Amino acid sequence: MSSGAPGAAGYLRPEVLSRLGGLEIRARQVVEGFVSGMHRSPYRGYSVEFAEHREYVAGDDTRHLDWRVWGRVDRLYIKQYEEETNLRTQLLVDCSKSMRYPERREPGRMSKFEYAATLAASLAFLLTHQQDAVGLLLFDDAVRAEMPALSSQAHLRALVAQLERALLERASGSDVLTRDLHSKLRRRSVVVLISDLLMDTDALLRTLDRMRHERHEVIVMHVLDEDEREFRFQQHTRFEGLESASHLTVDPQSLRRAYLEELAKFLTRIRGECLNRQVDFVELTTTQPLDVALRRYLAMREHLRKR
Amino acid sequence: MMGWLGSWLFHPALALGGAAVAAPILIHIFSRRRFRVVDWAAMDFLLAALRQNRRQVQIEQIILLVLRCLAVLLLALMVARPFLRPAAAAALLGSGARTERIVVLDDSFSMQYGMGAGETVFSRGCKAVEQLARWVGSELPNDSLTLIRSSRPDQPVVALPNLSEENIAKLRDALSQPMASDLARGASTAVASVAEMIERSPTQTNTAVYLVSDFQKVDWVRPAGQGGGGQGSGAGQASVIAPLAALAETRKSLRLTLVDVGADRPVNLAVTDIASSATRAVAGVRGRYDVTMANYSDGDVSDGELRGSIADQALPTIVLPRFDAGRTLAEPLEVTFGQEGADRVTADVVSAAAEDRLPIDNRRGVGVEVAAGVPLLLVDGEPSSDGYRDEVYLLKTALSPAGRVASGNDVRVIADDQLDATDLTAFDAVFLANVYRIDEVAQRKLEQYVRDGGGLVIFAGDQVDASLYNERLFAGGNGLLPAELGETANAMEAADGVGIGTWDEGHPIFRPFSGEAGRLLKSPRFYAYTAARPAATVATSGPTTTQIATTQPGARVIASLDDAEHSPLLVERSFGAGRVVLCTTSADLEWNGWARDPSYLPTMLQIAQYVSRPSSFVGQVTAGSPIRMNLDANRFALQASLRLPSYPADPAYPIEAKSGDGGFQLLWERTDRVGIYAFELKRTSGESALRYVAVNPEARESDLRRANRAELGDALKEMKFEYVRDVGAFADESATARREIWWPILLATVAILMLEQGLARWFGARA
Repeated sequence: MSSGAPGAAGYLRPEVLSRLGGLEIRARQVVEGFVSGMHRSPYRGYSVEFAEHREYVAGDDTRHLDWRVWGRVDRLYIKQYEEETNLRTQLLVDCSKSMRYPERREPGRMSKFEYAATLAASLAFLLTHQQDAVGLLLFDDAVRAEMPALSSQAHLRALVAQLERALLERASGSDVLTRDLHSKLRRRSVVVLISDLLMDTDALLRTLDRMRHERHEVIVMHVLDEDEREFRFQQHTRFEGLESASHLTVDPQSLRRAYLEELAKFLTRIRGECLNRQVDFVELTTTQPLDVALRRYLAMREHLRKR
Repeated sequence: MMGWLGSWLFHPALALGGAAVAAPILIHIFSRRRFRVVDWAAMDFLLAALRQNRRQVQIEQIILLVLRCLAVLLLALMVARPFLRPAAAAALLGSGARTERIVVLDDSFSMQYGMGAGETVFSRGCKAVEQLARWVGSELPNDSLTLIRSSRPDQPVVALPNLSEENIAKLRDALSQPMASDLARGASTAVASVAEMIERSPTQTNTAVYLVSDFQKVDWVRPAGQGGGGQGSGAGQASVIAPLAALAETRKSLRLTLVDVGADRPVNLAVTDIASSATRAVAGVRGRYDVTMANYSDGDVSDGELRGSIADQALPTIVLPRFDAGRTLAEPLEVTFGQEGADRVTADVVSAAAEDRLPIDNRRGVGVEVAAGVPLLLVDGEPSSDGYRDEVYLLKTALSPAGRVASGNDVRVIADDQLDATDLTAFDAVFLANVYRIDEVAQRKLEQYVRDGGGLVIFAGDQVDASLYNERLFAGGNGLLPAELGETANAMEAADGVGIGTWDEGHPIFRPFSGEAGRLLKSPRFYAYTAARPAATVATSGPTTTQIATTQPGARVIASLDDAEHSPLLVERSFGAGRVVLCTTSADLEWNGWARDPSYLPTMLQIAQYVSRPSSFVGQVTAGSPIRMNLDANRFALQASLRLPSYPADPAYPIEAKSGDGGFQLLWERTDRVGIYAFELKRTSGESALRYVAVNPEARESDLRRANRAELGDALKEMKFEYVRDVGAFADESATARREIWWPILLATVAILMLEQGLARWFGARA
């Protein structure tokens, strides 16, 4: 599946995506693949006010077929409705140094940031095509770039370009989001935090508290590399901190159990804290197909619509 | 080091591969230096993990490292081909350190026991020594070896500084020489000499002592009921090993190994003693030799024969009665010597069925000096031309009867007044018959005579002055007279006098009257006798008796009359080297009718033989003891020659008499071989005369019963020792003495490697 020309759904797999050139193309491929696999089209909202007809495409909900038009012209048309675009989504993407992992990587493997950026661009792509406004905020120990939530194609391109320009040179900072977010997100939004969460956990939780306090809906998309989740190193290894000067030379096999325990302890805590704050927590590995994240996002959007 | 390794590795050099044990450690160290570098984001988790299980990781790593090192060590060991030895082999070889090995080879005559096919216990011992040397030489060629014989512990047979092929050839040559001795000096007797030898060597020397012997019980095991330090078999005391045990206290490296080469169930008959019943052999007089034999076998012997010979002339064979296992048997050998001079008697015990394999002790001999007659002096207290009134006529007739059978006695009669002028030393016994008075000169002369070994017989009679006798000869119990004389008792009142009541049946004088013949002593009648109180009785009543009791043996009544008082008839006592017999009645018919009785003649002959001065000639000695022969310088030249039993193969040795306390004496000390030693003496007249002395084997050595391991363990409690029963069984093929153990090591190595892999996986899987 990884060789030759993959189908649209194949582009959901990171090893296929990584071979594509620009982030925009990747995002488009992801969303196309994702949409073609869905039974219902995510592209249109379904508000009460009729807007126009459009020809049926596979995946459209058959409940919206206009049988009268079919009777007249013998072609299937879908009834489209005008929808309010009051759903704002703000993508908070971690561009700290730790997201560079793995720096020396084999072909077909994405770094955490590449994965996060592809995910962010895909979401932006999907949202823009739904007429939803999407904004971007890149941060490490400070906010490195910010774009307000808009829904135009030009904005989308600018957003993708911004992601591609990210430098990944600074360590994560504590409280950067708590400090700056209030001024950046004035309207109630869906906030998607895409990060490896290798930062001050207490500061992170304070940020989530703040966001919830300001009534944002929050999805935390926790991106880790497979190495970080499984820790399957064999030979003696010198681990050098990406964000710190510390280093450690160990036999990784002997340390694996303790490492995994520490990781599990961390994940359990984050999972619990998110649950307490009604924050959606999505665990992602850079080898996982991107539809998992997109599906979770759409499920949340659906949930918000029904509220 | 290599020597030590060589004692349990075929290829000790390859064991150095064990140094490869460092390999896993080095690999461990290098692998810590060779690592890949990863830029890692989640450092916090890693650091926390490290803090959590640093100690556990270290322990796991050490366990794996130890297992890997062990596997490498075992591999090196396997390549070096280690081997085990059987316990007996290990005992013989000892530790691998350089060792001085002292081998004591028992050459006592019991080792000449035949094992069949021309082999003896001794040759088996020699073979064991050679095999031991060969084998030790192949394993530890730098060890020294000293071989000594138990009979000559101060003269090593060989002393080899190392066990090279050349030296082992020397040892083989030495062992091939005839070495077995006829002595009874077993390995136990050499222990003290070995201890001295070790004591002279430096303290730090490793020493191994091997006793190669048949380990006879009589040498090693204390007889039952005998406490430590008691008398008896001498070598059988616990202290046999004491000199070595004392050394072992300070020299921990001293090891003792007993190599038992003895036969399992030895069969042995032996002549253990031959002794003449007479004090002197007389030409033409039948004499008797009592031969004692022992059956040291497990089974009874029913076809035994005793074969005697005089001067190599066979005597009639005596068929022995059934001879029980472990018992002794005494048989008389009747012998008559043809003429005056020197002769020798031998006795052999023979059994066709018993298959006696130790011939040396089947024969025992004795050299004899044959006299023309026994010179006796009768002092007649009442001479008369009428034989029946003469005091000693009948006595003289009894001591030297006419007829076909000679008594051997050469009797001379003198009157009592001639006593002072007579040289008593020419006589073997003096008879005083009814001698009235003994003056002081005679008293001193008689005392000196008896003290020097002469015999004295005193007959009572009506002329005897009892008070004078008591004063001069009894002297308060301190004199010659065995009893104090009392009143003369007259038994005429009883119709027929008195008879002999009791007598000591075991006494040599009454030997002819044993059994039925005892009735003969009942017939003589006695009408008068002198009362006598034996010296021992007097001894308790006066202050001088204490002296008697301590300085003189008491008198003994050997025959009593059957009167109311049981008056003594014959009383004897020893005085110096001689004997005195008192007869309380007269020698003639005046006080009794004894001389008319058949019992008179044998009794008088027996008395004469009993009291006669024994011959000073010693006709037999035990092998190893010196021969001493007194030489009358008036009759013989001081230069003589000696023919050993091996003569004429060996020439005669010249020998010269030396002056000593008792005159001139010929002394010959090298009596290693049993057999007849012949001394050729030169008379002053120019003629030569032979004297024979038999050198006999030690009787005790004939008891071949072996002490087993447990008994040796009990007897040698003071010192630990190894016991090896059969050297030949393993040393014939030295390869069988090395049992390779590479395969269990291989199994162990594989097991360890599997364990290492398993643990490594488990530690990893847990992680």
